Amino acid sequence: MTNNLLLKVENVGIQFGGLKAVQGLSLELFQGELIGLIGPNGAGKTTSFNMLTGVYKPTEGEITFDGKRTNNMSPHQVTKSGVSRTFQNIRLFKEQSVLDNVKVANHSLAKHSIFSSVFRLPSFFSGEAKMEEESIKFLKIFGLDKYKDELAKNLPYGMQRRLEIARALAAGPKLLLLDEPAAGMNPQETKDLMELIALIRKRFDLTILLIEHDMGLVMGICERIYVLDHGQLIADGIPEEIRNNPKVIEAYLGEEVTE
Amino acid sequence: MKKSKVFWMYFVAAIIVYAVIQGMITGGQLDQYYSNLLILMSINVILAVSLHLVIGITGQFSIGHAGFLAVGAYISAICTMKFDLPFFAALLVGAIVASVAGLIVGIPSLRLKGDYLAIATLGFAEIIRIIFLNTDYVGGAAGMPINQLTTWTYAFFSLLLTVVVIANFTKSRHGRACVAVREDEIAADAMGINTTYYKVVAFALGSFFAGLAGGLFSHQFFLIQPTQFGFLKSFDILIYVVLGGLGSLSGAIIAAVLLTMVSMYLTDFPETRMIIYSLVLIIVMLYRPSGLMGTKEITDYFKFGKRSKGGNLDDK
Amino acid sequence: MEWVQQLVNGISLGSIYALIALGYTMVYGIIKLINFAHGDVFMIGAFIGFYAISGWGLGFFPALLIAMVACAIFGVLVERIAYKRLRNATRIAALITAIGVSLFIEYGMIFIRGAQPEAYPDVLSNKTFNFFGANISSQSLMILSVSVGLMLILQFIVHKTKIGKAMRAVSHDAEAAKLMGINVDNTISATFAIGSALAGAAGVIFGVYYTKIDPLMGVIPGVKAFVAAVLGGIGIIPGAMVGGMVLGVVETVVSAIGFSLWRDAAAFVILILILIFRPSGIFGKNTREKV
Repeated sequence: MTNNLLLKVENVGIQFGGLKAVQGLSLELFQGELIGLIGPNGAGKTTSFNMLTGVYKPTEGEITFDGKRTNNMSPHQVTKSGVSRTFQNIRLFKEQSVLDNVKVANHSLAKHSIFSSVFRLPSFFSGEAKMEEESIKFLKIFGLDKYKDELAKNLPYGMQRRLEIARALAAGPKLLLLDEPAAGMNPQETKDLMELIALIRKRFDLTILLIEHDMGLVMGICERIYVLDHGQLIADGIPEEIRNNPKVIEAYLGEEVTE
Repeated sequence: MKKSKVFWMYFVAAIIVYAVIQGMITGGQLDQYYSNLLILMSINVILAVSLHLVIGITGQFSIGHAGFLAVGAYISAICTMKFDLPFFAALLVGAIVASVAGLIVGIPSLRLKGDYLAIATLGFAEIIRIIFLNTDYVGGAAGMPINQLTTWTYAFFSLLLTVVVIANFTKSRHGRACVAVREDEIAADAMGINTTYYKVVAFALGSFFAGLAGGLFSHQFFLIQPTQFGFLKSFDILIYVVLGGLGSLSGAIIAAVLLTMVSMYLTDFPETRMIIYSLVLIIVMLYRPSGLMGTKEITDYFKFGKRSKGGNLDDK
Repeated sequence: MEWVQQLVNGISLGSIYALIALGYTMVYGIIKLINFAHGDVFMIGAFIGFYAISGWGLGFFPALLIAMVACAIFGVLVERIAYKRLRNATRIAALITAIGVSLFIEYGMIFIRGAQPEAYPDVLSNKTFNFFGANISSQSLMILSVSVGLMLILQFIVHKTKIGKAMRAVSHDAEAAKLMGINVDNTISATFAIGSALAGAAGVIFGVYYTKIDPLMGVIPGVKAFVAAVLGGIGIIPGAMVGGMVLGVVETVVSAIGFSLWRDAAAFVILILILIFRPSGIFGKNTREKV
């Protein structure tokens, strides 16, 4: 595994009104790593994701992805530069078919213009065929190809979670951000999902940053873990270190227990 | 290729419909009343389909569509009446200027969402109307007399162009991007869709065809006045899209055709017409907010169902 | 000292806008609905006042009171019949319904009594005072004091009474208010009742001041009052008052400097500038969408 620094986050913070939601956040992700970002509810995990993907603009600090500063990029620019994500509360395009959901993320794969689409020029047909083929490929990986013409809203919950990951993958990321991908899943579904994540990571040579609420789960698959509490980084290291870190235990269990 | 075969099938069907009606007009089987009705229907369908792109497909709630209709109507009228341009060129200029107006209105206001956007578009449409009201060059409040140049041929081919362009746009990567914006703007953005770009494109394209309808409209009625382009006109267009089902092209077309007939029969009872319209709006929203068709298309019901006017060009 | 006179005219007009805007703002604050039909409640108020004065020979204050009570009932009926089912509908469905209700009231009125205008009877004696060289009519002073009085009463209701507290609680968080034992349905109806009563009062005042009323009179003042509400920060009661006054003064100034035909455009230009640059209005706070 090469040691290329893919994402560098330095002292990043954000303020909403007077409230400092996240401060002094520093992360380093190397090419090919699978990293966990954990912390109790309200610790600022999703807010951090939102800053990394351009949804929120950090009020301080620097985010550098793949050598480019992404602080002031809008979300679609960040995505095009190679960061893609899923959402904690599933955000599929509900009234579009499963296939179209993936095709939307494949948007930049083909280049046919509006003009060529409207007048059905040859580039339209070849472009759309290419998108179709590529999208089906992603659906197959996630076992969703048999549902391709269903509306996304009609999929069972677990399948919706999978579709979100398939869609994020179709956007062609180098770095994939997964926001609680196993939320609401039963143990078997969670186990399958984790295997799938390991698989796509290998196959697409991905770097993955994973938010999870459930510590046990993250411990199992992540190589390194960052821990957030009250908007601040309180620990980072390999799972073994995190498991025994008194600060982490305190953050998760509350102060009384540590005494 | 199968897709293009279906396309040509629809195309030929559309041409036959055109030719039959044109033959009946020339032959005198359809009198002035009915040919006017058909032209008015075509204009209303163009308006409905163009607003469908903005509201139904892209989910941007614009209730100022009459503003772009007005721009197209006045600009094309200026072209024919003051500059003696041919009607064809006047229609094109009107549509282009309307789409530029769409850009000017859209770029600042499309940052707004939901009902704020609705109110902003309403405000812009009123400003456009007041500008024409205060411009003596186009007759101010008294209005501007115009030669009647709109024919069934112009109306039909404008309609065909509108439906083909918007249906094809919708069924392409660009249209899917617009639907994604409607479904979830934040997720669309996160998937690499430039949401602002697509909102503005949909708005400009919608305005273009509203402007085209405007040109047909002004050259049909001898006289245009600013009062014809007020809130009520915008609501008229809105009702087609809402009644048809937000997101359904064929729904918008059917609703426009039906309501044009209803209002033609009620020409002499304008209050009754408005009462019926308003009741339709309220009842549809309370009992069937998805409209007649929901987001479905008529071709989803009958795989090879015939459509008289071009319709969904390449059904899969 | 003509500008003093214009200022007073502007404030009189503005206080009418403010009275209507209050209803918009209260309803929006509580159920996030732009009640397009609110301008038509204003029209209904003007007509009820007209019939009370010219039909029954009542004076200004009794007519004002009757119009307010009738409009309150009317507003609640509209809410119960049309809007109540929409609590869980999309914002767009609610907005379209409101547009439908508005058209229905306007054209229903035309259907019943025709579109012809009525001339409002003179009920307030009109004397003109010379005040620092400006001619100020007793009527505009009267209108101004009635409007200010109503606004003070409203402030009292919202801040000091039980129903006012319930209204604020529901607008803050309807679910939590329900859990705290507040009857949300009744609170919403009360909001409609108060807002509509104010619009009814504005209708009578408008009639007395401008003397001409017709079934479509509510459209433009309704939209402008909405502009006033947005200007002040929609959902914020003092914002609606200030917004109304500002809009009234701006319009009067635009007319006074010779652009009377552009007067209506001024309101929309203000609306658009506010929406684009400060959508939360003068007094509003920015909110962001949760991701």
